[in-house]
Amino acid sequence: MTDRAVTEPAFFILAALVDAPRHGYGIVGEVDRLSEGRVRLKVGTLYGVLDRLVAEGLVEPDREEIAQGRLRRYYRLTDAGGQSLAADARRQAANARVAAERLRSWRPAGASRPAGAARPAGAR
Amino acid sequence: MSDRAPVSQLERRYRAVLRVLPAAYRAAWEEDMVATFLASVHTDDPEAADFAADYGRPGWTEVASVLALAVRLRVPGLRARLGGPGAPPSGLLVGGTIRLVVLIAVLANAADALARFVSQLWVAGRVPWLPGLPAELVQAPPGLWQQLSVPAGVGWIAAYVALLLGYWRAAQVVAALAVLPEAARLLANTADLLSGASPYLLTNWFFLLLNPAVVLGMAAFHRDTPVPRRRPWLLAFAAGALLVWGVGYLSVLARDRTGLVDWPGLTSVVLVVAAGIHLASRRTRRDPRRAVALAFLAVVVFVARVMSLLDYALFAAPFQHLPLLALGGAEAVAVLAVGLPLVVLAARQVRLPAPTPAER
Repeated sequence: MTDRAVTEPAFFILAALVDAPRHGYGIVGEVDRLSEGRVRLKVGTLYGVLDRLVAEGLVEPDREEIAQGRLRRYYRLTDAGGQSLAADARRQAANARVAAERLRSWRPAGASRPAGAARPAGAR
Repeated sequence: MSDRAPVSQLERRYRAVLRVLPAAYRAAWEEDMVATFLASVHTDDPEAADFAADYGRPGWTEVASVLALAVRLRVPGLRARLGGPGAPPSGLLVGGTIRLVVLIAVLANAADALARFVSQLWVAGRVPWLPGLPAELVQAPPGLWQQLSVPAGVGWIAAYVALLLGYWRAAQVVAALAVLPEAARLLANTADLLSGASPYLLTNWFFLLLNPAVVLGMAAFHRDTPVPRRRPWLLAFAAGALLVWGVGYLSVLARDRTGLVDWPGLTSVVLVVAAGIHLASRRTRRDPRRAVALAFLAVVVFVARVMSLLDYALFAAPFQHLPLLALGGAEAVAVLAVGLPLVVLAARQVRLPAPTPAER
């Protein structure tokens, strides 16, 4: 389980639950913040992923509260969920390292010309 | 329950969208999803909140996310019902029966197509070892719609071979393409009818609706489905093609102008023989899928036969009426005579224990 890559929404949902249990809307807001607005979860997407994470034992219900006449169910990360997230974070970090190392020796097409060749005429 | 929040129109609309989800899933997650959705559209402006509560609707992206979830949740259930992985015993029976019916239907279309090719070669004089076509029966060169039956026929033969090789999705795609020329031909026939010609319209429409159902039924072939035993099915294909071609050939040599040999009649006879063998054999009677498949096919063949009789009554020339209706009526009665015991047997057998997973 911990070796398998998780999807981006699942990755951020697990990450959103690391510091504290959260309810559905709390997870949506935290994922939005952690991803700097890149991952905006729709409700159908959130519960599709949550359902799977609960079934796989990576997330579990924490407690239920009634707020403004509505049920509010909180979810928390399990130990297996923490390990899965850590494994995926290591995998992504390793991927990023490989790409960064390769990029160090890469020059864009325009940058491979001799020094000065790309200099604008007016800059002499 | 008195502290429960009042239900707004927006909530009602969102709950209506959630109805596409399976009931068991809703029982576990609906309240939570509604609470999260309403929190996500909440605003501190009381006027805007009132307006949203009365006139707001879930955005299309929200609806799309729920629909995508419904598809993801329902597809494994549909596969299980068709005998896929994790299927309950009833699913194995339904899946096995659908696959058998589909295989027989594709076999019938493929055998018919092969027989047509041989007939066309014969009409074109390319089969020198057979007596030639009687001069008075030589017709005009085939029209566009007859020519279209060639690619359709190739499609059915290819679909049958793909099924015997285990290429389920390829078979489905090719069969779907084979349905298109038939649809075009039928539309042309419908135009002919409106212009006063006498095509057999009801029967054609019936088969046109049936063939897409065969294509859809191929969804019952999944990755765990064992490949059919090739030898008996290939023999059945050869025998079927020989039967269709042979009967057509003999009717031409006998100068049958009434058109006594037709497709519904031929399928009626084959079904009656197959049902008779099934009902008489103790060994084959043990498999409920065969009984259910034959009972289902009996209903289809019976309806096709009745449709064709209506066609004859409406469109055939007066001299054809009596022989066609008499022979077709007798065939319909024969199908009914074997179909009723088959339906009773099938109903009895579906109550018995289903086949073991090894028999899927």
